[in-house]
Amino acid sequence: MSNTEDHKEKGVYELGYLILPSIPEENVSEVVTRLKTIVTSAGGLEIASEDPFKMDLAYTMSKVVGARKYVVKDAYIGWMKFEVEPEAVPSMQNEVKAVDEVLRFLLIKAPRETAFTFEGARKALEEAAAPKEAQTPESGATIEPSA
Amino acid sequence: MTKQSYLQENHIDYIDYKDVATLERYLTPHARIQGRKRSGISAAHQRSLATAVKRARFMGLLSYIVQ
Repeated sequence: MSNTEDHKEKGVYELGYLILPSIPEENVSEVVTRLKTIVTSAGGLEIASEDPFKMDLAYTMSKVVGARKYVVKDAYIGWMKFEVEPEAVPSMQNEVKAVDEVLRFLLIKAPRETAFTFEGARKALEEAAAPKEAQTPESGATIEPSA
Repeated sequence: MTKQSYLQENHIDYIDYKDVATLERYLTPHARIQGRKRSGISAAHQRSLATAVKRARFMGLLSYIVQ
């Protein structure tokens, strides 16, 4: 029956990841492309993503790679959202786990619409801070002539 | 009129674990999740809030504990 094909409905997933800070900034994009190939090779179709940037972690994390133990206080954080068949997700999870450069990752179901981005949050923060800064020089200027 | 929660006012249906600013509104000073009495959000939102906070903690966006 054609119904069997209908049952293979794709789901929207989000892969959030932390990349070890010991990797130089110019090589981070290589790790991201490797993660993207894991997604696309599993039949994933990218919907949205945000490139990683360096962020201070809320607590120290550690990861053992071979004989080395990395204890880190910061990491590059990024995410990508894609559409994929649910059957492909467990194997994708294993593949991401095998990437040495990835400190931690989170593969979850997500809504299709992207309401939040780090970039947008940063801008909102700047906008919230900017009016205050704009007001203080003005108020400073008004005080000067009176004085 | 009943008071609307922050989530309703801002039309947040899905609480994203990356949205630390929103999540922090619902944490106590010790970084525990506020109870429903204090948060005042719907039961469905409270459940998704708990999931989002736990995800954010795992990803190092929020701390597990503040002493």
